[in-house]
Amino acid sequence: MSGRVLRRIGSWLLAAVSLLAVINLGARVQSFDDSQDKRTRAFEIDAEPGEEVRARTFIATVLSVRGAHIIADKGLNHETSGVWLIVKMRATSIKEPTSIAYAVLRDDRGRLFSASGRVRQAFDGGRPLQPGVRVQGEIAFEIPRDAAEGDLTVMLGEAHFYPALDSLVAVTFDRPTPAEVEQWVTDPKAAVLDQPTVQS
Amino acid sequence: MSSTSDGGSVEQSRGLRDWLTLQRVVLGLVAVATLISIPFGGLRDAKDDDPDHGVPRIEVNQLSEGGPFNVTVTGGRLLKDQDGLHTSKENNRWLCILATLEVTDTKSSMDFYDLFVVKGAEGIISEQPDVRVVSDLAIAPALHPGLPEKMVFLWEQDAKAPVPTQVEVTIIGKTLRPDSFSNSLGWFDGTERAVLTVPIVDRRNA
Amino acid sequence: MTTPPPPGMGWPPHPPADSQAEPEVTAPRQPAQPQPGQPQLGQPPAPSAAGFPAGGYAGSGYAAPGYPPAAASPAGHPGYPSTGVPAGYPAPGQPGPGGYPAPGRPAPQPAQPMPGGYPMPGQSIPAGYPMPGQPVPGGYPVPGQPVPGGYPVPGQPVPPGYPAPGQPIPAGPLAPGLAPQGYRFPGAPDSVAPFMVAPPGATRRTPGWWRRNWWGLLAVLPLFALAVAPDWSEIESRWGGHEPTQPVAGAHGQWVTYAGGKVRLTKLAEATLTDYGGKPFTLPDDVQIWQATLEFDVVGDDADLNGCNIILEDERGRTYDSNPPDLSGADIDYASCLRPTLGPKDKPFSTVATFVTGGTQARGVRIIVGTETPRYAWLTPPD
Repeated sequence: MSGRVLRRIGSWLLAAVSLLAVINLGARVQSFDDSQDKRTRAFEIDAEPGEEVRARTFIATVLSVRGAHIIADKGLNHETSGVWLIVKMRATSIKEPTSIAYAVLRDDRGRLFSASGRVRQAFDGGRPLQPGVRVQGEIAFEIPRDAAEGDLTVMLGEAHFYPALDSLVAVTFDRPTPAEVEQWVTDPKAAVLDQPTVQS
Repeated sequence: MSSTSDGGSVEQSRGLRDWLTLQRVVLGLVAVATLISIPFGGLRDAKDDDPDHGVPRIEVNQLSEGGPFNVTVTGGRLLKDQDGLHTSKENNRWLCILATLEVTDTKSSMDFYDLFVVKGAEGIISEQPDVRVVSDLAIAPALHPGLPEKMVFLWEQDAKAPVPTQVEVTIIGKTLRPDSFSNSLGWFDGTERAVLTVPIVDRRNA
Repeated sequence: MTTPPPPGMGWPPHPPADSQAEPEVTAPRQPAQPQPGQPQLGQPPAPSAAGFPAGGYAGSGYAAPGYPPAAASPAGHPGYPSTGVPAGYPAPGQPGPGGYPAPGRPAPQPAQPMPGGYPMPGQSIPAGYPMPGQPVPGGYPVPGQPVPGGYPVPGQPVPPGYPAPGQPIPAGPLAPGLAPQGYRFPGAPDSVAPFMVAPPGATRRTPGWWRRNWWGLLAVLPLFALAVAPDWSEIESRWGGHEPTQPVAGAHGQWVTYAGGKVRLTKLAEATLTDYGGKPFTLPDDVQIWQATLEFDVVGDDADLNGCNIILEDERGRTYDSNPPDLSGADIDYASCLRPTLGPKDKPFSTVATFVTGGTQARGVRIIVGTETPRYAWLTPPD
């Protein structure tokens, strides 16, 4: 009789232990690749400055980079406590009207800076590009000084938010010299952004 | 050996085991837990004597660290309807909280619209404030990591409401965690991070 | 004089601890002379003497009169009560009902099941079965009798569909007394049991899974179609409904009926533009400016056609927006499918849409109304 009771207790214990083990294992499996963000990350296309890059729906060329302390826009001077980084680029769409709504600067610490909302921007915000018609303009980013002192990557995509599972153009500039950064930060002259123009 | 009684006791003990279903065991445990709690005042929430409910109290110009922003409230103002800052009705005023914000996330963020909860002022038209950059009163853009920015948070207040001289401002902090639905990282679970009293300086005639 | 039973036979192996200390009796004592009034030797005992067999006591296991009882009770055998034999149990000496051991016989080994599935005396009767002596619920075999074909052996679970013993047969659309479909009363011939139990020795003849379920498999396809059919239009719209993929076309330059109105393309050609100051508005040489003149024939201002998109399509199938920001500064009209506010309300109206393309030939114009997708109007210029 006691043998039967012991066996029953034993089988209950076994069931409880198995259940706990299964739950534990399931939780571990689920958290193994925790990041949905990683699984839906964009397809990055790396390129050099000046190189024409073909993304899924647009073609872009990141031409050059300059810096400033003040940007003048709509008659207002916008000063920054960091550095203004101004990127000149050219883009067109491939098959149907597209806009480059995602324009983000990545520093060498992995921080992401979206194009500044303080000034009018050439592309960010959804200006449509017609197929085959190349438009050139400048985008401004406002970043802290320590970000400007390292390598910088300009990232361009179609969707307004991060282009998950879509193509993302990534153009990396070598770090500016300390003298360059110093010149940008102390420049008293207000920079003016190139407005978008149709290029041949 | 009295076999009948032996057989009888086997019957009884089996009966008890049958009677003790899982449901009854759980109910019994719940009953015991409830009874045990009687000398301790029952299962009600403990009385909360703290008016701040455990939220740390800070001062104006004191830094409150956390995500997605580090916040330093620098003051409060009352402003009038003016160019660039129009109220929905004439004579309504703007209740303003000035604060310096710094993004602690690794990317640019605009997640400051529910950063403050203001108590002690009546007649607030809309819970969601208008947020501007102090330097040019431009509508607040995304803020960037590593770049603290002086911002002003404006709530439109009805002209008939009494003029506040001070308000209680609670700073809401969030946690960076995966979204339980899509498992992507985001800032969720707003909780009260700090509370302070902000004196309101009337600058309507400045 | 009868021969006394051999020592040990019929007697408990050890006297019970609490009984009168009565060691094994190796031989009966000489019977005493019967006293007057007492039954004469050789005569059968009074029939009222409970437990006493009707004719003689040879081999009965009980002591002859005058002898002390073998034990305080026949309780030397488990299962037997100390006093009186309950109804249904065999009187001492009688052969036990099928499966029950006679007193003195060893109980069947625990590993062996009782014949017919009945429990050992002392064990609890399986659920539903009567105590010995109690009437057997309708339909179940009395102990010792074979279980009618199709009924479960006592102790085994009742197959689904069968009532537990003692419970009423489930109600059905049948008159009382008739067994519902698949049930049969015990002994009733020629009914079909809901499950089949092969009689011992017979080979298994139950139909396989396929034979039993062919109708279900056949039903899968039509049932699947029935499940999907009510939502088919939603599936269609969700998967393909929002892109313009189905052109509604007419002859070149002719009216096309679409979205509650009629529309046609009267002109499609490259254009030169001026700015608002009258000076030429130019773009780089490899960029073309196209203008399309459209005529609308719509009744009223609420037709769906009034909320349309005007899209240029080139020879390679690429598409272009009308009035893009590349033309800002040029003196052009805003293209719209809405009737101009100043003008006759009941005549067709026209609009001019301007496009910018890069090194390509324009082929025609698409008019797209969101609620009409995937259909769109495809207009080509007159020859």
